[in-house]
Amino acid sequence: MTTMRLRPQGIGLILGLAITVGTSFGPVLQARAQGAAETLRVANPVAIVSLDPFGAKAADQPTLTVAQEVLEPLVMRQDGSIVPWLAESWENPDKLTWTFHLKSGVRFADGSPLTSADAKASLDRLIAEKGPLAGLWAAVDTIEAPDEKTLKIRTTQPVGTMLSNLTMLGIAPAAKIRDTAFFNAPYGTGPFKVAAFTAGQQVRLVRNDSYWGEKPKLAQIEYRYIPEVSGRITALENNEIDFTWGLPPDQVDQVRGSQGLKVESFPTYSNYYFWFNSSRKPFTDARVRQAMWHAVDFAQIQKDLFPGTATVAKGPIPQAVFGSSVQKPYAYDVAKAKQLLADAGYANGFETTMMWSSQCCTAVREFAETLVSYWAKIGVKVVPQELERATWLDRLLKLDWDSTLTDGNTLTGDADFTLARLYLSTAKRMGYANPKLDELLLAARAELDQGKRAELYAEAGRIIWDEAVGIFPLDMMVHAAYRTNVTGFKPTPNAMPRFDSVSKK
Amino acid sequence: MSVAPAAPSPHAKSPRRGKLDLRLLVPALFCTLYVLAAVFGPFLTHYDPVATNTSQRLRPPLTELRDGSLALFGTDQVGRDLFGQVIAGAQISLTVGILTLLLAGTVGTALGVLAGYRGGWLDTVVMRLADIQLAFPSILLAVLIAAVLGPSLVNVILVLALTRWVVFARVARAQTLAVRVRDFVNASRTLGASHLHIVRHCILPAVVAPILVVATVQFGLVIVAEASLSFLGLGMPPGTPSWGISIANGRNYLVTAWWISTMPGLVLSALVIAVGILGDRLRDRFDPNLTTR
Repeated sequence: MTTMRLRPQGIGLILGLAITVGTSFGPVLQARAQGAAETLRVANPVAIVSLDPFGAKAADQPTLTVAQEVLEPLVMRQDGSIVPWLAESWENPDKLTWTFHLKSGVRFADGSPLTSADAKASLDRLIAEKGPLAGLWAAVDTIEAPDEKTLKIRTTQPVGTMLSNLTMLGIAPAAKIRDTAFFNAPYGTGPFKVAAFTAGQQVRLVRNDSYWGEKPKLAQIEYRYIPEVSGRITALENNEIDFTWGLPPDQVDQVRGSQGLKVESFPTYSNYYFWFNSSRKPFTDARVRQAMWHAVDFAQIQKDLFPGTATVAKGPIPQAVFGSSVQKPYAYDVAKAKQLLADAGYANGFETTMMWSSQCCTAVREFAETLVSYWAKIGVKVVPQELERATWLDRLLKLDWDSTLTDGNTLTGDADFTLARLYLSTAKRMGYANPKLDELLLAARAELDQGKRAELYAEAGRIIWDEAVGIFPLDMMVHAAYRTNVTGFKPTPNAMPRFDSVSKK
Repeated sequence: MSVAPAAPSPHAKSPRRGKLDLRLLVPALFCTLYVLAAVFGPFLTHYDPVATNTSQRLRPPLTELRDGSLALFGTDQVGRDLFGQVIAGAQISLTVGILTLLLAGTVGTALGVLAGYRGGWLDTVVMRLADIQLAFPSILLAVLIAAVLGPSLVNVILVLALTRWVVFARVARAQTLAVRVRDFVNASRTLGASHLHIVRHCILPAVVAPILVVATVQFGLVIVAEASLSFLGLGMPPGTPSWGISIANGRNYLVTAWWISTMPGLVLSALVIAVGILGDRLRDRFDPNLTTR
């Protein structure tokens, strides 16, 4: 197989070679062309800046999109329910203990066997890095590996989200887990391993030939970052790439009309949201935040800017997520907005800033400019700040901002992932602190009865919505566009396409 | 916009005095039109860069909008009138162009005259600095500095002035070197005139004409540079109606709504071409080496 693989210089060079020396090296090139048919060329909509899913990028979609092909979790969420994956079974001896039995015969891509020590090391590092996912594991007391195939997690209180949290934990080899160089070309037990990675530009995955499960049909996946939407569409139409996703609404129709291309739209766990920094004036006052919400006609924006690509949100998390709820909508009411501002002591409005990442989400600049326009009508002058993603993320985590527009993805499909990860006062993500909300979220996390959990999340969602911790305008659909010779793609609502079942004709 | 300026031919005969010089007049008229549009246009179009109207987005040129007004250039991706946007952009472009040239021209000429008049180590230092800077592509340098300073009007002017002073300095120095050994300068010196007097009354008058010609040529380049920086998100802050930003906004709509990028692009090209021809013509007229032909 190795001889058929494309060298890192890429297809362009090989095509060039084909033209110049085609006659003399015919058979070799034929073999290489066959390799090209087994290579899926993907253009990701957001740059992949890191392949380390344990560190600061642990909740970063671009990183996880690649990591999920390489590092596998103990359990997986498929069609809404949890299924065994690297762990073949588990039990709760008591409410505070989880015992997992690992599948035997699973090996990492380098040939070393998977043991419970690897799972322990992976979870240890995720917690130690204090990254964006560490909050999910706050209740973990001890992690033990009593024998090679058993992992025992003890918690300080019952954790109802243990399994959905574990779907997010890819297992990496314990020997490499703290080696930063390893994450330039990580490998795990997954169907693919990383062959080459250039931060922000491209990632090349090759098939893990010793994969324990059903072997993928693709020999290679090449992720290229093409920042321009028009560039991505052109590349797709010109057969330079096979697959892309995250297309803005205005461009979807153009692709739909193209021959040889297929568009698939599906609802997701993601939504657009706008956060106020509630620790900064004037957003410390809930009336100001509510006024900002009442000032915008989101139904109109959805109709004009996101036709068929988003729906007006009914709650702070998308309806497809476990624990979602339907809240009382904020009416578009300029007079009420002005009244609320006046009540809060800002009758003449105020000036503030709104930041967003330039690579963030579909039609983000259009959306942001429209919001700024609506707010100008109630006397609130919002200075837009379009930032490069790394800068934006850095400022976001440091709480160094007034307001921000972004999209969120409830990666685990469980309300806890979004609500308790972001809105607990200890998370310090948007400066909002409410002991009542903390209590609800922690109670829901500790509850093993899923029905009761759903009720608690509905209550928590109501507080977040009514207090206008943020504005939750739209639940998003994702559009994947691919060439018709790509088959076997199965959309997942977490909007991170997987390619292990995909093949190319 | 339909009046196409006559193409310049490099070996055109010098016009006789008193006759209409179309190659000077047409581009000059064009530039005047831009200045008038920039100064008075905003009063007529009432363009508000913040106000969006999503229900009337992506309307093609010459569409009548719901309030009865005519969108001459169409509307952009959030429903703002492109004509108003382009006029407001003219204001930004001309402001940046003029202020940058004033700054770069003053600093560059001063340094150039000083270097040329004084000579010695000062000349070496200033001109080698200029040479080093010229070795870098000016737009690359501008991108580098702009990325550090962040987007704002003042920063754009500073950045562009920093990349342009060299051109002025070199011309001013060359002219100074040529003039300072002329007989009338030597005569003044023999009569006891101070350095300041000589520079003011003998050197500067000789430097002004070529500097003005250089300024005209540079004007177009500065405007393009501003648009390029803004296009890259390093020039004017987002939300300002700079031509570069308008063009960048339309990138994703080139197939479905070509006018968003095309209209500001055409207006930008027309201005740069007009200024270019004007500068060319002025050089033909004022360059002492050419008038003797």
